[in-house]
Amino acid sequence: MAFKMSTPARKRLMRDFKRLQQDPPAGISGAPQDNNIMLWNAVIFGPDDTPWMEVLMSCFLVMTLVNCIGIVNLHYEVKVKGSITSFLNSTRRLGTFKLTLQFTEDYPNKPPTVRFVSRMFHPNIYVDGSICLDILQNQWSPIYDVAAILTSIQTTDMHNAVSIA
Amino acid sequence: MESEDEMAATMMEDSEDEEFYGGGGGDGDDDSDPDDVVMDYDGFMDHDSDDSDDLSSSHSRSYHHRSQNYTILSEDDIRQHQEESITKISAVLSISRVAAAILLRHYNWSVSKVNDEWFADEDKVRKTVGLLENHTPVPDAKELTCGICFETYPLDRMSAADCGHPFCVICWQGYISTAVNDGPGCLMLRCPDPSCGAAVGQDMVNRLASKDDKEKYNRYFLRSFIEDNRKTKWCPAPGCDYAVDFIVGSGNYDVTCRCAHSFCWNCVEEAHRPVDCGTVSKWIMKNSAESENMNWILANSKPCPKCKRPIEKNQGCMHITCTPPCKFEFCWLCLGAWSEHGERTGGFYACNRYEAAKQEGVFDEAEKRREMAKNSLERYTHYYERWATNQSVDLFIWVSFVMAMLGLFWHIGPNMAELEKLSDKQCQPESQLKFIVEAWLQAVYPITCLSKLAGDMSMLDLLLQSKRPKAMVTKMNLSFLFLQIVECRRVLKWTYAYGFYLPEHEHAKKQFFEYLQGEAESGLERLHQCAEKEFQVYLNAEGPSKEFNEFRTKLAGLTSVTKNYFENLVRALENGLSDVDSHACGKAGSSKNLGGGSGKGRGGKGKGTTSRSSSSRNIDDSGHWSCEYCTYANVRSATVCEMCQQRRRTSQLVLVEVLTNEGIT
Repeated sequence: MAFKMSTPARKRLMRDFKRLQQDPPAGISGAPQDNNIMLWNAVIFGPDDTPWMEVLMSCFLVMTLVNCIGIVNLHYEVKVKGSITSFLNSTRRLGTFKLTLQFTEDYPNKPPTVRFVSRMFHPNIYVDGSICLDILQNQWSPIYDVAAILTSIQTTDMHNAVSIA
Repeated sequence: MESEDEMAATMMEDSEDEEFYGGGGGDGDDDSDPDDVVMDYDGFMDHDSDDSDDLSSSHSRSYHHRSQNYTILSEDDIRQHQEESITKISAVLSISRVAAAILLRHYNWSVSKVNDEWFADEDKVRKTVGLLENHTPVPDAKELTCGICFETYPLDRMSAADCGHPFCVICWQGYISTAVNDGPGCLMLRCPDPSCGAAVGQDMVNRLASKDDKEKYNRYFLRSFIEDNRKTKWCPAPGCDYAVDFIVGSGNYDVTCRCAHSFCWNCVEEAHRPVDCGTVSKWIMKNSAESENMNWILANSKPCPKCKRPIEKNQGCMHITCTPPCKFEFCWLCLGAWSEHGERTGGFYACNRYEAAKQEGVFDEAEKRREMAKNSLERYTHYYERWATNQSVDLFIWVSFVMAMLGLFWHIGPNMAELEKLSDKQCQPESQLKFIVEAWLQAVYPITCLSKLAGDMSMLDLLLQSKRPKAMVTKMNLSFLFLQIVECRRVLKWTYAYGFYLPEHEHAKKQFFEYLQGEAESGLERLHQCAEKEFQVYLNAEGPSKEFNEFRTKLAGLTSVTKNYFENLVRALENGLSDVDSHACGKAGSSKNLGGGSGKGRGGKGKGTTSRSSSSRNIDDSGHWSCEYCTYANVRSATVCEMCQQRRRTSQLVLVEVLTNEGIT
């Protein structure tokens, strides 16, 4: 990987990458694209307290209870249990979100443009994937780095976030 | 007259801005200007020399006109005032000048506000603004890591604000540069550390930023003094660098900048006395939007048969009721009154009368609709045309004025080549002409300055002493007259806008207004023609002749008459035509009642008389005239009021002549 190291923006981005690799925050990973350090791909895992787990667990419990009472047909019960289990296995997929970060030569004096790749159903996220977050606009500071950006997106936006499609 | 008193009292009092119209004072009573022109030459010239000092910048700053409520500030003045405010705050609060500057900017450059807030709760102010009590020094180590680029540098390459957060000089430069290029927000710059709100002041910027950024920052700093301050505004004329400091409260917002541009301080539009700012903005918006709407209205709507306002029908039956105050009910199809419609004419969704008429070809629908639609626009167009005419006449006057001035220049003898260079520089004709005028005036004013220094000597004597022709005096007289005409044109122009917004149903006010306007306009036309003619005559003849002097007297008379008319008009409009009783229009439709002349006498008179027809009309068709002092209804033949023994006013008599000639009464 050959990067142009001359500009302060690129130097700073290399540092950010190194820092991310050495000391990654929980549930966050990111890396620049192979030939372009100004464009990064990142993945955020939802925080552990997504409600989906609770919802599905309670469904599972209900089904078990119902089974004990013996009302439900055995065949039907197995089918439902099976689907719930497979659903539980795939809950992981519900909690992972892909983003891109586009940097400019003004970095770190200007914030990067961050957007979600997958379509999200969330009040602070637009249809095209742009994020409405203060530190990415007027509250930006040159001290924030990639890890800080991703962490703040994770804590403020990912609660109750759902990925559609 | 006001100007005479001022002259008598103190010759040394002066105004800072260019009131070369000869207008007295800050109340901006522009209509008093012709009066100055008309006075005997001594008085006129002296007054002129009072005001003319303001063009010589060395004198301008120290004089302040007593009745002036605004001052013109040049860039140096602004800088000076700014420095004074900073020094004041810095001394009173015992803080550094940089901190004082930050504080002032935050509180809109109001010294009193800063003092109040500071002494009320100093800590809160410090926190909001970002001024720390103590300066925390940068951590003492051989090398430090910059918080932005994460490189390590020796101590001398690092810098910090009062909070002590260290950043390398390169990063500081980038940070400040980005902020400066983002706009005036750079004046409120804070430490890059998001958790810290320490303010970054002008001293740090001067130390760390590049030359261009420093200059931009200083430019924003200077501009902020005018833009953030609620009492000052920039002059809107293109290419003008002056600002106007205004003391609100006198009611009249017309100010004149040193660049000869007059504008309303409140809405920053052109000077529009006597109309108020709301009306002006409505009118201007209407002008820009109307042409596009016209076609649409013609095509898609029908005007109410009674009040002519356009109506668009989007659903429902044919029974239309116009909105209040009209409330006329009519049939949409044939536009006839609804009282004649009903089951027999076809019910609610058809109209037999319309069908019949259409077959007869009486209704050429589109054309008739268009015609009626035009009536509603006609009213607007009527006012707009007159407004626009006066607008263009204004420019035309400038042109003819300057042509005349150029002729005069040859007599005075300034540098013509310079003038031409000046006029080439400016692309717009109007500003070009104004520029020339200003140059001419600047050429002339040094002479008047000399006269002032000479003390009691009148302008006339000085000119004679310097062997200038006596005619020079006349020239200046005329020039001010021309400027006065321009001023009157402008007032007239805005009265048309006023007239458009006058409610239709207030007939008395409308007629009163139209009467006043008519008198003023005719007076102005006569004056204008007279003045132009004189100029022509003057340019051809060399020395003053006998008939020329007579002419000049006539001109003086005309000027004072016009001045009166305009004063009445302006005063009436500013009172909102309140001295007209709007109820008393009982016979408005039938007689040509004119409301003019006796505005004040009409006040609460509606109750005092028995018969409605003679209640508040000067002349009505029952053969009586109401005295304007006691409102008694006298017989037509009387010339002296029976009750109060006051003579009937001449204007009323004139009106009587008019009406009898036209066979109304």
